[in-house]
Amino acid sequence: MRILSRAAVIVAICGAVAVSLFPFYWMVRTSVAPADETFSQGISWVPTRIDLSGYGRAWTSGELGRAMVVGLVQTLGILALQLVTCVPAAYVLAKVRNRATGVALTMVLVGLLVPSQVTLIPLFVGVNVLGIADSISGLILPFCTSTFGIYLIRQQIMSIPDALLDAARADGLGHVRRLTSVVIPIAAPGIAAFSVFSVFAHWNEYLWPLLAVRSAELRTPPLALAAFQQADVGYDYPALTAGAVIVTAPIVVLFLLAQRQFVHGMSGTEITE
Amino acid sequence: MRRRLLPALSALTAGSLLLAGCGPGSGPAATQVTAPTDVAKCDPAKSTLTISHQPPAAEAVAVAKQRMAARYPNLKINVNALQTKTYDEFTRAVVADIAVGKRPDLIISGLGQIRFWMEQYKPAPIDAAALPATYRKQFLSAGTLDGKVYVAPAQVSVPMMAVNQTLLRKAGAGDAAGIRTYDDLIAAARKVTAMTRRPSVTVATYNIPDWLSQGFVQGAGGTFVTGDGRPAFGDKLGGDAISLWSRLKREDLELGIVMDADSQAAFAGGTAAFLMTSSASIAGLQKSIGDSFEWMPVDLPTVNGQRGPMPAGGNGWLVLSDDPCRAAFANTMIGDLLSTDGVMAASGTSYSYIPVDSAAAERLLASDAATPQTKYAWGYDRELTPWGGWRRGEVTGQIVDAFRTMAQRLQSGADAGPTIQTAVRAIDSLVSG
Repeated sequence: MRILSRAAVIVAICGAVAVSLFPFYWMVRTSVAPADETFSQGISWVPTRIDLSGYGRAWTSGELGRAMVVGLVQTLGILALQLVTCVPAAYVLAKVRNRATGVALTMVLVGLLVPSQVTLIPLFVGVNVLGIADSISGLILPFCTSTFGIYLIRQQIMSIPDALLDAARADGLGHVRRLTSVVIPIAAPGIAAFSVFSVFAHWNEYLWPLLAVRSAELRTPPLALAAFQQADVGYDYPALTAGAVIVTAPIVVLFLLAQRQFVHGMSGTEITE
Repeated sequence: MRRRLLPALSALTAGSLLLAGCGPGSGPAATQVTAPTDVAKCDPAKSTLTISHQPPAAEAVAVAKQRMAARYPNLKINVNALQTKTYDEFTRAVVADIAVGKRPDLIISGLGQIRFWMEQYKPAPIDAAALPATYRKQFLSAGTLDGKVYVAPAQVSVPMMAVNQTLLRKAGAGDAAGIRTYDDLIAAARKVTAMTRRPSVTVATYNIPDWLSQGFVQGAGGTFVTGDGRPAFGDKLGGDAISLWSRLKREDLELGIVMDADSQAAFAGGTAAFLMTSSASIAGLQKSIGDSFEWMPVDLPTVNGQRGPMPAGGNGWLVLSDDPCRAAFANTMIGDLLSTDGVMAASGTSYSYIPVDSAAAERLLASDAATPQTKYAWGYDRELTPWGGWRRGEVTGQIVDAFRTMAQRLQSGADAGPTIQTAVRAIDSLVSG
């Protein structure tokens, strides 16, 4: 009976994995199949021949190399700024208890409820007033902090016992040293989890770069892929899926590298006093 | 140290929150355009021309920019190559630019959005006399509003039907060229469906429902929009023409696909034998289909077999300059964009737009890239009408939504009469303000 239930669990997990991986498999399969097999009748699991011309078009026409460098600078720039702003903010909201931080925490929670599209136009006007539209700064600065990041990291810091921080203070450590020497190492899984979220979100972000970027030199990966999705002339699916494979690869690698920290951060780890 | 640090961290928190959620107010309002002056009176060194366009126009812009640089070496030209997927997205991006005071001088406009631009941003009419001698002037009607040419059509398309000739032959359903009426289409579709045991027609309802509806009505010789921009398709002919979706659904002949890209995919994959879409997609379909099966683009069938004028789809160039000299340079650049070389770049050989230049059309038709399929677009020489033409350009998006609702209801089998009349009333109320 126990063996049967274990087998059922394994089958269910395998099924879930297969369902999750199928779109990736189909993306890769379409990217290497000849164009006339993209929508051929029935399901052909393996292309009759390998055609890599979609990768060539994605790389050259879509200028994916340059777009990925822009995407990398944008994503890492945003992440760096978010960590600089969110971690101290999360620390204050978690461990400094007064009326101001209570109000600030309420604002964070309200901020979580505001859809990002609502702030899009004010942000666009803002970056134009600041003269940073159509620049890498215009891609990065509007996202220099994140209410989600503040909240997620705060929750992680909340699990650090006050006694530990009191002991650090008794040893003469100020807020900065407590933050850098005690809080950040313990909250690292939460910070890593947020980092993965942030990188995913901004690497894949389409709407803001679409609004903020005018120069071909500043196109991010999702903008570069849009060249193959023209409603007027139809989609170039082999190039589109090839581009998607190229653009997704760094994210998959990043996730595999940060997987342990990500799961740890999301599951939360209590430290007992 | 601790006392100073706490307020600093609190300030950082507050600053982070403000940056996360807030931003400044609205930008400057749209201004009226001034008419272009004589370009000879303008100093190129004192002007910077800004062009905004979508990806399919990139090649033509490169050609025109080169020609302008040769003619006016001191004129600076900024090109905003927006990576938008649809004309709606593009319009939103340009409107956002105008709102923050970055009004471009020359933009590409979807031919269905001329009224919006004209009413909201008062562009100066195009100097049609300055267009190249080989420009096919009959296409200017697609960019004309109230007797003035506001848009010079550049990449033009018409609604058409693609037919899988191989499937038709296998099903004994005749020849694609023989399908002129809805009855012909339904008879052929019945045979194909009987053979394949699945619906064989796809007429997507999300992307271009207004344009296809206009094609159905005008193709049958009906009137789609009155001269003063109100709906005219509520009469018997209009109702019969637009009821195609529900007729097909009643016989279970339509696949029920809403997105145009999915509809094209169903045709390219051999699932659908009949696809109604834009002639601009012929080149893409050709690439996707390859030698898998024999297919042909043909005119849209109509309810009565007539061949009325189709609405022009695609795009054209519109001068938005608020400076007379930049407007003059923009008009000159339109001449280069629509030169034979510009049109060659814009229409072929990787695209299947209808060439707006007669010399370019001849060259494309004589080229190795000419196939029986691309020849349909490259050789199209019939009368075209403007797309839409509704009053109150600011409600263009809502009008398309009304058509989308109507088409999707018909596609799902709703009764044609009341559904079409509801759409007529909704659109009439929108355009009446």
